[in-house]
Amino acid sequence: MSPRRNPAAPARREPARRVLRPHESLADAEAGLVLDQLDMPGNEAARTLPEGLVCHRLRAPDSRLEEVGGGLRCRELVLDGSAVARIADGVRIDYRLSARACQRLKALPADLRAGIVDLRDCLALESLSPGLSPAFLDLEGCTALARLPDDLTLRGGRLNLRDCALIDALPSRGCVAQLDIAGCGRIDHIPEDFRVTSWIDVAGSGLAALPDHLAGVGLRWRGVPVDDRIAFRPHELGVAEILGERNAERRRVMLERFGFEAFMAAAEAVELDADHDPGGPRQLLRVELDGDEPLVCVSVGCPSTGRRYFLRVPPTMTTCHQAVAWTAGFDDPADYAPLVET
Amino acid sequence: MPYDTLTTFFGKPVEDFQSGMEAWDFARTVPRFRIDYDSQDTVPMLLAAYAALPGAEATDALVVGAWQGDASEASSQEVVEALVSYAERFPDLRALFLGDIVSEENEISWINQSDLSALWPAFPNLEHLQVRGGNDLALGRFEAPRLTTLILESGGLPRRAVQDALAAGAPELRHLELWLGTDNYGGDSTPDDFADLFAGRLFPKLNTLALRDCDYADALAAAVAEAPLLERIATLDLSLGNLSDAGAEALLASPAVAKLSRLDLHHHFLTDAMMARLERLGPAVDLSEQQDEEEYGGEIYRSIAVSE
Repeated sequence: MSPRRNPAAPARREPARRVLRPHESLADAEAGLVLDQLDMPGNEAARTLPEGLVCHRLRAPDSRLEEVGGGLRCRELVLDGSAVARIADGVRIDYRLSARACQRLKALPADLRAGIVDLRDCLALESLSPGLSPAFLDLEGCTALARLPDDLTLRGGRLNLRDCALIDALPSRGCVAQLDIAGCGRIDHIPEDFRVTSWIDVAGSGLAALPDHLAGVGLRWRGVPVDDRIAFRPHELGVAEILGERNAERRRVMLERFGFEAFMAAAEAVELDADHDPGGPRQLLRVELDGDEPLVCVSVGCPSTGRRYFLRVPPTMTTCHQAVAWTAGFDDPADYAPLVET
Repeated sequence: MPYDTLTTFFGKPVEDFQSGMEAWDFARTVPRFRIDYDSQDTVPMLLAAYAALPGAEATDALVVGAWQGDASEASSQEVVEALVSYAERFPDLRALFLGDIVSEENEISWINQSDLSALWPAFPNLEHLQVRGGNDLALGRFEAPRLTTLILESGGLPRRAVQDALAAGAPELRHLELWLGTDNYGGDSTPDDFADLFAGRLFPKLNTLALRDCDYADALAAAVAEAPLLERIATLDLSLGNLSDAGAEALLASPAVAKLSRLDLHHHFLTDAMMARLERLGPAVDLSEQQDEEEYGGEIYRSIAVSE
């Protein structure tokens, strides 16, 4: 097949691409340099970028760049794992900023217009700048981030706040297809004017039910599609229903939500082993699961608090001692002989 | 299969948009964004360059071709996110083909799709969505007020995607085409998944129902033959699957099937005698590509069309 030439398209301009080796610097670059693509992965020489750089696609992952400024204009900027601490005001990114795991990143430019902003695992990031309006915003694991800007506008894609444990509120308005607030224990409501069209991941969030304005939206529990009983009313699940669930991932979530201890009691588990330790009596219990490995749990008491715990262990375990050793990280139970338990 | 990329889409010629192009005939030509295995570009960056052209807001149809470059496992997620993040540049987008990928580039059963749910609110004027590749495909819960055509081609369509499609708020849908495939490629739907559809409770304007490339075609034919839905559609397409005389008997016994205007059964395992009976049934019947069963170690195999 030979494609017909587009009559309106002029001859193509040859794209300008430059690759910078790890020890090459940009010191010789003139102000106002225009490039289609600049690749400088792992670069150790450059700390800043030349003034007035225009570059459609700039990739500097794992580099020692400390500041991105100088009025950079680009479509895509990739800084994953770099040393960048600040992306200065005046930097323009149209399409995508990816700055995953930039451990020192603290400052973003005002009015960042990128459609995709990925700041996953930026552990030092304490605040976002005003004027942010992405379609996709990924802040998973930004554990120092305490709040979202008041004027944050989301344009329909996804907001991922997974494990942002300090954040206590969503923006008052906005629209996303997908919302992940798993592990956001302080988020306990979704504002009336915040719309979600496809799914919400609610595992370990402060949400106790879906608000009326989100009726019918899909629910997930750390990625596994669930229904509102599993998510919010697990005590209503029955043992037969859990055992009858065909999807193994979903059944695991049902078990976790129902509680191993309650399940073991209700499912008439088989006792594989029983003994005593300083926390009191221990039990190793087993329930067969259709189409999956058996559920084997060890029941132990905590010597200091007196509380009882149910821990899931591999189905190969045959004694309480072996199972407890496994939970402490020992494959060979002979290596596990605690002197004192606290 | 398939062997050639599109030459036309949504009634217009399709051409590749290439990096460095500084103009486009938006009214007459549909752009395709694709890269080769040795390309320096990415599909999102091509899309970004296109979206930056003055006049791009007139775009009504887009084709996304091979996006994986030399990373054959790459899913469509980045492409979908790029489309959504540029949605304001394409306010009139009415037709989208996500995966105009030929077997030389990537076999249909190897194409990795993704969660497409963000497309729906971003492109509320979408009338035609065609997707190739079923791995990890999800459509999410969606409202598509203008959608008339939904085509999901795959080697194995996950039940989740089937359920998403059938739960769609798509009151204008006229053409529903699902390539159900085989569980070897992740197709895990069953005839029961179509109960509401067959009962006629969904899609009041449906005209064509195509449940293709199905490896339980006889059971599906038996279920659809009794479907009240058939009273109000014109075309039933059970092509590309492993239909045998057992399923065809069920179709022959259905008064509603006899009243259809078209019945497409091409790529089938029917006997000559059964084909002759179907020819006399009433609808225009496509019985081309008669296949032969194969026998290995005493087992009979009837291969569906996508089984590379």
